[in-house]
Order: sequence, then structure tokens, then C-alpha cells
Amino acid sequence: MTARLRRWLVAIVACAAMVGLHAYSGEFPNEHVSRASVGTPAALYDATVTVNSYAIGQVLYNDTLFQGRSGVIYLAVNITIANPRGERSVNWQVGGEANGRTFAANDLLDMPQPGFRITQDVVFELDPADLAGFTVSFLHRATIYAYDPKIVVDLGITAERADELLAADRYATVTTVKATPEVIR
Amino acid sequence: MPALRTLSGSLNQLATTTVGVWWRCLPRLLAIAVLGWAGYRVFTYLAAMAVDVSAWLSLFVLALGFVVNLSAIIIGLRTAGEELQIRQTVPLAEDDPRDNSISHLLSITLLPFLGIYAVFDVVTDAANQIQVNYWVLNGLTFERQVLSQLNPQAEGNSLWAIVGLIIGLYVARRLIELWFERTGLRPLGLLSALVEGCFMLIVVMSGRQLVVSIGKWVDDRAFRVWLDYPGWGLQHVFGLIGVDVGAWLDQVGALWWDSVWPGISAMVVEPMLWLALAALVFGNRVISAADLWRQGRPVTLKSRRAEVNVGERQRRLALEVQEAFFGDLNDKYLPTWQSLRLVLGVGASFFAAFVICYGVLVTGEDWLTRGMYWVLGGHPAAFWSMAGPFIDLISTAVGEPLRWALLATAFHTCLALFASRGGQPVPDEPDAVAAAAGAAPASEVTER
Repeated sequence: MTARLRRWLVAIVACAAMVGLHAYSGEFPNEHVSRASVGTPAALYDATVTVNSYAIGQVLYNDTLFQGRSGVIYLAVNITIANPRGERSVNWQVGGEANGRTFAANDLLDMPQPGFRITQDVVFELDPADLAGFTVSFLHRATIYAYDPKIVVDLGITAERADELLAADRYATVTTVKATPEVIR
Repeated sequence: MPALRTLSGSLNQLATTTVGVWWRCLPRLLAIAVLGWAGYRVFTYLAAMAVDVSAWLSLFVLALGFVVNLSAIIIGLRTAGEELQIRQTVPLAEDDPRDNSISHLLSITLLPFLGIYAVFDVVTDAANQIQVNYWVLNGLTFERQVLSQLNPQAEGNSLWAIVGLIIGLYVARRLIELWFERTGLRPLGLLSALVEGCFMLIVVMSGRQLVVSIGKWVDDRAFRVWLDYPGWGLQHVFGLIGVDVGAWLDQVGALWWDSVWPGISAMVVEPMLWLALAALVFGNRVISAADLWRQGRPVTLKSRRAEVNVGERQRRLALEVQEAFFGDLNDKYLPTWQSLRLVLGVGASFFAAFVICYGVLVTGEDWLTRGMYWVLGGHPAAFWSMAGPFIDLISTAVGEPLRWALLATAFHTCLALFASRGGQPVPDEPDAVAAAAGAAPASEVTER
């Protein structure tokens, strides 16, 4: 290999490294992520959100309707959103993430009026393999561009815990809680 | 490994000289960067305020903002270039006719500058910024699409009126340029740059819509389906052997368009285009520095209207027509192309060192901005409409002076490498440049 060729090879590697650095940096994020755990309230502007518990099963009982699909499980995450004084926001978005994939919740969130809190279930339909490491996110998305706050709650489901849950409840029926408003005293 | 040693030498030289130039010129560069930033910001806000009067007026004000921005870049590059004595490094004839005024530089660099900005979507971002500023100033409304007057497809707009306006602006600009060349009145140079800015912005904003509408028209035609037949056939053939070639191509396409191409564009193409623009600022009308060093004299374009001294009337007329239609090519695109050839022809080690330095600089700037956003945390849009400009100011004040110093250093290094190759005395200004010529062997400077 000639010296000139070697120098161009080094130049190509340098360019590739810079392209890699650019890919690693990724797009400029427009969300400020705060992490929280199950049972801990996390603030999103004037409201707080708490993930209380979760349950899995292959059959979902939602109000008066049974749903079931083979090959998937339903993950129902029980949450409480409290809004002591702020305006009722319609900009909340809830989603899930596991194994680099994102999941949309089956239904929209019910947001409380000022002075109320609402406890409800958020349901995700997912592959059993995606149960381990599942996180739930709450995002306040502004109508126009902003650096929005986002809360990511790790459900704390390790691979071992996922195996235990699937062994115990894979074929269970998950009954969701209807959104219930309560006055904040 | 010698190749790595050469790269490390070039890298070391480029980084240390850049930091040295940056440090010595910091107060001046900082002042220029802040003034340029403030001017551009003021004009983008004024453009948002002018929207209610007319989108065309808004566009004119935005063009003013770009002229201010480019003026700051040119002055910043020249300040860094003076520190490196770049002008003295280029061995021009005593009676060199080059006009080094800012207005002349503006008139020849604005088109490539806006072209580079258009390639990297900065013009579109500026238009979006006008929309956001309009919302900040007037409240959020979706009833009115800001700048919709510029869309030839929007209701009530005439495609031919916009085409006529583009042609009219082009002719007006050429006439002002000719007037400027004859009289040398500097305000005319600025006016020409301004008209050119408006011309380019209309071409980018309205032209974009035209391209989209042409694409839609093609998609609605029956013959469009014919173009899909080869793809379907290929899918069918690969399907026979159990290979989903469509999915495979989708993955390759996604990897290329989502990760590889944006990286190449931002980390390789962008720095080279900026260096070409810097070369245009430092050495306009120079066809090729390689030629320059080989012949020991500047090679300039000789087809300008003012220099035509042909007795034959028809020939003169033909040359005037050629100048009117292809003057842009001679004055702007050709020098830009030659600048690009120049910086690409310097050699692999310099190229790699420059790409690395530029990449680290833009990544550092990006991470500085991200860090400031992260420290402030999530807030509503109203907060960011106030805080965003100040974050941008800090990022600009840190990044722009360094970028100008790097571009000036890189161009100076180009000249030093060509000088060492041509057997000319290496420019004696910074010791580091002489070291650069030593670090990157003259043999690696490609023949042109």
C-alpha cells in the first residue's frame, strides 16, 4: 500500500469517526427527562403523577368488555394524577418504552380539574419479551416547540421478575380501574 | 505508522494555531459575533412583525438579517485572517484590481453563502423562526399561515407572478451589479447584496413549494405506477428465494438517510463548504491557489464586462449578453467551485485534521447548548421564547469566533502547503504554519 493511499485511508477512518460521533450525539432532544420510581410522586409543572402498581394478564376486562389476543399480554399500570392548583392541561401524553421500542397506551389519560386527583389504569399491549425493563413516560407536550418536561418511571421489572410475573399471571384477567376523581383536601 | 503521525502533526498544528489566533483576536471576534447575532435576531423579530403588513416585506427584512449575519462572518474571517497575515501570504501583483471592500465581498459571497444555508435548511429554519416569533408576538393562532403569500400554490397566489418576481429581481440585481462595477459606489454593493438575498430567499421558499407540487403532480399521473414495476419485479424475484428485498432495502435506506447521510452532510460536506466560502473571502477571483503558486502570480477571471475591450461590435454585444446571463457563474459559482477544489486538493492529512477539528467544534457547541437546556430543565414554550435567544447568544459567542479562527487557520495552512509544494518560501508568519508544511509532506498535495 502506498503512503498516499494509507493517508487517505486514515482520512476516511477520521471521517467515519466524525459521522459516528454525529450519529451518537443524535438529534437535539426537545424533552427534559426526569426519572422516578414506583410509589414516588413526580412533578410535571403544577401537577404530580404517581405510579402506584401494575398488573399483567392475557385477558383485559375494561368496563363491560373482555378483550384478548394471543401472543400478547396486557400491562395495566395504575397511576394517580393530582392537580392541586394548576389549570387542567390537555397536553399530557403517556407512553411506554422497552427494548428500544415505544408503545402507545390504549386510551387517553383523564386529566383532573384543579383541586382534584384522579386514579386510573393505563393499559399497554405488548409482547411478553418486552415486559422486562418496561418504563412508563409522562410528557407535557407544548403546542409549539419547547423543551418539554418528561417523567420516565422505571417499573423495576428485571428479567427475573418478568419471568416470575409471566409464570404467575400470564393467563390472568386484568381488570382496569375506572378513572375516579377525588377532592384534594 | 507515518500516516497517523502526519495526521497527528496536522491536527496538533491546526488546533494549536486556531486556539492561538482565537485567543489573540478574542475581544474583536467576540464583539463581531455578538453584534452579528444581535443584528440577525433583531431583523428576524422585525420580519415577524412585518408579516401583518406583507409577507414580501417580511422576506425583505429577513434578507437584511442574512446580510448582517454574512457581514459579521466576513469581518470575523478577515479579522482572524489579518492575524495570520493571509493577504500578505497570497502573492498578488502590485496593481491587483481586487476590491477588498466588505460591500464587494458581500456581493460575491452572499449567493454561495445562502446556497450553503439553503442546503443545510438554515433558510427554512429562519422561515420557521418567523412563524414562532409571530406566535410569540401575536399569540398562538392557526387561522393564518405566516408567509403563505410566498407559496405559489396557496389560494389567491399566482404562480406566474412569483416567477415574474424572481426574474425581475434577477434582472434588477444584475443591473445594480453592473452599475456598482462601473461606479464603485459601495452602497450599491450593499443594495446588490440585499436584492440578491431577497432573490435567493424567494427562490428557496417558493421554489421549494414548486418542487413539492411538481412531485405531487407526478404522483397523481398514471405513468408514475410504471416506475414501480421494476421494484415489484425485483421483489417478486427475490421473494422466490425467500428474501424480502424490500424490507432489506428499507433498512439500508433508513440507515443511510437517518444516520449516515446526516453525519456526512454535517461533519464532512458542511466544513468543506465553509472552508470554500472562507477561501472565497480571503482570495476572491483566484481560480486556483495551486495555479497561483505554480505560476507565482494570481490568476483572475478575465471575462468581466468592464474588462471587455473588443473592437468588433457584434463580439462585444455577444460578450455582454454572455456576461448578463452567465455573470453569476463567473463571479460566484466558479470561484466557489474552485475554492472547493482548492481545499479538497490539499491532501488527505490536512483534510482529515480539518474535518476532525470542525467536527469536535460543532459537537462541542451542540453539547454546550444541550447542557444549558438540561440545566434549565423543562419549561413551557413562553419561557423558551425568552430564554432561547440568550442560550443561542452564549453558544454563538463561544462557537463562532472559534469557527472563524479555525477556517482562517485552515486556509492559511492550505496556502502554506501549496507554497511548500511549489518550492515557494513558506509564509513566515506563525511558526506553526511552517511546522504544518513540515507535518504534511508536500508530496501529498495533489496535482491539479
